[in-house]
Amino acid sequence: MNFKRFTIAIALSVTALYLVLAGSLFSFLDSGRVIKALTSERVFFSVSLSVKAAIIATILAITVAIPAAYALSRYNFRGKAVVDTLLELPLIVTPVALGAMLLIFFNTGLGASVQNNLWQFVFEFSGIVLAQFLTTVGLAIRTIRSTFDEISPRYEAVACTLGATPTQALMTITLPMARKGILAATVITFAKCIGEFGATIMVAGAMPMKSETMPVSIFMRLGSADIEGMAMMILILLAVGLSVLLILRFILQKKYD
Amino acid sequence: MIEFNRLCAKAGAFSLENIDISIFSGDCHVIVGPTGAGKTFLLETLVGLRDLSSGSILINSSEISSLPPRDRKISYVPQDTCLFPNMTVRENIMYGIRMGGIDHQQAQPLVDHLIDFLRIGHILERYPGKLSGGEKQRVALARALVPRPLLLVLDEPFSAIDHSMREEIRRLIKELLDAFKTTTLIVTHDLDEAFFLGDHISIMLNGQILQSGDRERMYYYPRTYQAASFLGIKNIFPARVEEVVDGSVTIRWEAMNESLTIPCHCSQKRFTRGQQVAFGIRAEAVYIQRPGHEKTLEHVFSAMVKKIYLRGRMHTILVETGQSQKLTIEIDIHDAAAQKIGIREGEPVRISILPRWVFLISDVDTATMIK
Repeated sequence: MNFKRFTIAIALSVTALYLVLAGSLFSFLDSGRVIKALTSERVFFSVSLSVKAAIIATILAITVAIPAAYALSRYNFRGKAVVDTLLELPLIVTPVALGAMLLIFFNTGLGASVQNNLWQFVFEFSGIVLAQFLTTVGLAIRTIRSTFDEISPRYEAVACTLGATPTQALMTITLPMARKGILAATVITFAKCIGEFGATIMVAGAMPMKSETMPVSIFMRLGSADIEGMAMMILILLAVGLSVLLILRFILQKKYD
Repeated sequence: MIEFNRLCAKAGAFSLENIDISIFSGDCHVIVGPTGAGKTFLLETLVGLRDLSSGSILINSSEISSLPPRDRKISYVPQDTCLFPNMTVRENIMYGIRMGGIDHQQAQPLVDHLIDFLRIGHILERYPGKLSGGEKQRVALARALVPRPLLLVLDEPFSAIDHSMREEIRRLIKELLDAFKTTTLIVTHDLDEAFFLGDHISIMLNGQILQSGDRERMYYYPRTYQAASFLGIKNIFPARVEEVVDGSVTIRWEAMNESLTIPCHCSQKRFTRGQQVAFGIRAEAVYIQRPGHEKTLEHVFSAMVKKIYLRGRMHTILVETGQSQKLTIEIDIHDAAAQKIGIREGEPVRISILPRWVFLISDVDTATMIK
C-alpha cells in the first residue's frame, strides 16, 4: 500500500466510524413513534429553547467579539498578552468547570448582588444564555481576530486619507471585507452554543420543560432509560450540526465577483 | 510647497534621521533608494500612519504632523493599490467624495475627466478582483485624485504591474501629472522610473537622504560616493586638487598623468588645494572617438577594449587604460554608434573625458575606494 492510499484509508476509516455511530441510532427508532415524539410538546420545547438561547448567545458573543477582535488585531496595549491568554480559558477549562465557576461566582457577594439587583441567572433561561456565551465568546474572538489579521491595515489607512474617520473606515471597508470570517464565526459559535451542555447544566440545572435544552434532554432521557427519545434528540442535534457545517462551507466558498 | 524639516521617526530598531526635503507645488519629486531604505516608512509618516519623533511636515507653511490622516489632504496609493475589494471600480472612485462630504455635482466633471483620461470607463462596474495590475493602478490614481489632494503620494507605483504594461502606465502617469499639475511624491527603487518621472529626485539610504536635487544634477553630479554607487556609476577615480578658482576646480589625475579643470556644480568651499578627492563620470558621458574626428574632443586617452556587453539598444564596453597604473573605464554606447565606429574586443580605441560631465566627491576615503 503506497502512502497516498494509506492516508486516504485512514480518512475513510474515521468517516466510517462516525457513520456507524450515527447509523446505530436508527436501530432504536421506528418511524411511527418518531413522528409522534417529534410532534410532542417536550421535544418542541427542547428544540425551541436550544435555538432561542443559542441565537441570543451567538448575537451577544459576536457583538462583543467584533470590537474585541479588532482591538487585539490592530492595536498594542498594556496587558494585551494577558487578555490574549485568558481568552483561551474556555478551551483549557472544561465547560463543566466554567459552569461551576459561574455558580461559585453567584454565591459571592458581588454575584449575589448581581442576582438580587440586576438579573437572575441561576436556574433561569438567562443562565443558559450566559453559560453558552461564556463558553463561546473566546472562540468567536479568536476566529474573527484571525480574519482581521488577514486584512491589511493599509486599506483603512487609504480610506482615512480619502476622508473617512477610523470608524467609517472600519464600517465601510474592514467589516465588509471580513464578512466571510464573521459569518463563519457566527455559524461556528451558534453550533457550539446549541451543543453546549456542561456549563448549561451547572448554571441552569436539568429541569424538564424549563432548562431542558437538547443536550440536557439527551442526558435526562439517558437517566430515565428513554433510549429511543435520546436517539431521536441526538439525530435532531446531528441534523442541526450538519446543516450548520453545510452553511459554513457555502459561506467559505463564496467569493467576491 | 511641502517641506520636511529635520524629520525623525522610529520603528523598532529602524529610524528616519533628519529628513529634509522640499517639494515644490506642481512638481513630481521622486525618492529613490534600495529596499529597506525607509521609503515606505517615510510615506507612512507623511500620511499620518506613524508618529514623528521630532521635526515637522509643512504643507503651504501649515504644520500637518498633528492632524489625523483625513485632514491632511494627502492622497496615498500604496504599493499594492489597496483598491477596496468589496466595492466596484465606480464605488472605489467615488469613495473620497462620499467620505469627504464633497458635493457630487461639483466633483462630477473631474470624475468624468479622470475616467476618460485614464481610460477606465469600460470597467466601472467591475470589482477589483477582476482587474489587471495596470487597470488597478489606473483606478487607484483616479480614486486618489478625485478629492483634489494637495499632495499625491505613490508608493512603488509599478511594482505590481507586468513588465509589458509598465512603460504604458509610466507614460500615462507622466501625462496625468503634466495635465493635472498635482504635486506628487513617488518612492521607488527603480532608477529608470525615478529619472523618467521626477522633476526633482532624492536618494535615500538607511533612513537618511543622501542628496536631493533636480533631475539632471542628480543624474550626472552625485555628491557622495554612496550616492554615486547607488546610481550605478562605476567610473570613480582618485585625484588631488591642484587649484580652486572662481567657478572651477582643477584636479590632478595621477594615474593618467593628466589635469582636468572641472566646472564646479556645487559649493567650492568643499575643496582646498592639495586635498585628496575622487572624481567620477557616468558611463554614457565617456566618449569613444570616431576615426577622423580626433581634434573635436579634449582629454583623449588611448585604451584597449577588454569586454563588450551587448544589451540591445545600448551596449556596455569595458576599456583598459592608464600610464602609471591600469584603470578600467566603463562606457555605455548606442548600438548604432558602436557599429559605426566598429568597436571590437582586443582592439585599441581612443576615449575622451569631457570635464563638464565630471563630478567631484570630497567625502571619500580614497584608499578604501581604490581597493
